[in-house]
Amino acid sequence: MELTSLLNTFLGKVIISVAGVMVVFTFNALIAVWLERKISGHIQLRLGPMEVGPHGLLQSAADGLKLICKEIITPQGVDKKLFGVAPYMVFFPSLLMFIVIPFSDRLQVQDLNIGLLYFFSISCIATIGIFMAGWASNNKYSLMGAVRSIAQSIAYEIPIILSILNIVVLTQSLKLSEIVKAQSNMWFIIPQFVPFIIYLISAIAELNRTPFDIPEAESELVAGFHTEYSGMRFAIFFMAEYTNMFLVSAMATTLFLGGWNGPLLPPIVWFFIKTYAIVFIIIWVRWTFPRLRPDQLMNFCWKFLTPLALINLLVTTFILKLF
Amino acid sequence: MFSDVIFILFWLVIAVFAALAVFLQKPIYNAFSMAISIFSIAGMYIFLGYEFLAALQVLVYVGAISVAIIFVIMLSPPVTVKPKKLNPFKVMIGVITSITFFAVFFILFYLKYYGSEFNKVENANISDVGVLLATKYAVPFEIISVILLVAIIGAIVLAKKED
Repeated sequence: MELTSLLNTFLGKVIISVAGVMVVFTFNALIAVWLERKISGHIQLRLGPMEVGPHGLLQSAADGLKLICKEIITPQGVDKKLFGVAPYMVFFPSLLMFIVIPFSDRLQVQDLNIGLLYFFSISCIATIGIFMAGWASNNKYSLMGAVRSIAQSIAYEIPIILSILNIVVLTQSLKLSEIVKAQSNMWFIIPQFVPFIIYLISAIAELNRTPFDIPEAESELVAGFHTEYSGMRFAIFFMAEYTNMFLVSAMATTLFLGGWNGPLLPPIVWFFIKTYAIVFIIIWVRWTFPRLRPDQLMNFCWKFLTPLALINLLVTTFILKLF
Repeated sequence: MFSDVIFILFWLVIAVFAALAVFLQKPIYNAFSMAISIFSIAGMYIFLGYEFLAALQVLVYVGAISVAIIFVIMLSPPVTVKPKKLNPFKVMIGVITSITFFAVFFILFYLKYYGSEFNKVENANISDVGVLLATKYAVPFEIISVILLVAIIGAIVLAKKED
């Protein structure tokens, strides 16, 4: 069968989409980990990884190889079934979320009518995986980490959804391709700067990264919900984390930074430039701010971010109705 | 043919995990089985063309309600007592109740929908849902929000009493 006719069949589309998603996922896992180590190194006046490859570019590939070769240890007291399933429950929503990301005007696996809603509802499933990991580990640190993680992600989901509602009100659509097209003249970051900031802060909290990393606070909880995991199972959690970072940045790009819109360069290049700019900001924040206390974290969400997002939504709808 | 296979597959996953949610011994297993069953129901909705309903199903039932149930199980002390031997009289009552319940539902649905063509929604429009919620179903919508508010205030009152 010729390649073009294969592309037009249902099976061909599925194969191409899965392969494409896997390529982006692998590329991102290697690059994002390297970026994090490099940026943290330079922030702390170090060089970061330098040995493997030019400027340590192949360091994450070497680390990945090491993790694959490592023995998978299952501690004695764990609930074996759930312990084995949990990493995949955290990982597979991340892959599913790739489906709606518009990489360029033509590169999108499926342009769902409810793309935006789909993205945020699928992201909820990962919390169940975190719960599974924390509970199955049969370890008080893991359990505490899981409980904190869930409390945090439930709380910060509300400001995220309220801030993206502004975009939905402006474009009258949940379809991501239409949201990107609506930004061909002006990026939504200009009229909607406050929701962008709210989105970014809440997204960092959802990712459990410093300054909101109380679920895996090293000084009190060892490593949070994945304390007992090692080898490839740990690597799956690790990759899911960096994939989620990419996805959150990709969504910020789509909603606020005009997606693939941009002059001269091809759309997909613009998309990746903007996405990695947001990834850079998230890493920058991580290595600059100290960790918050759990009560500060909750107060900040419920008493500041949520009311601010609500007021902003009200203002947006009023202005739209008036003019 | 292909769609029939998928339909039966979804149906099987839903049925098996719904049964597991009832029959497994550890409460945490029940909760996870329920979450998977609910997630498969969302898959069924997508299969039938109700994308919006499917997304809400996942967002509300998997993302919120299942997580809340699991949260409660995690905060409660672990169940170590072995299940007691079942009282045959109670089992009989349970079987009769569930058969009656199922029969009533089946008859009602049979009377209402049997023979009527299933209308597949081609392009589910969310703005239509919004307009309907704000006009035709405005009163039930408001009543639901008041009930939720009452539940929140009630929860706070109950939590505050212990101090």
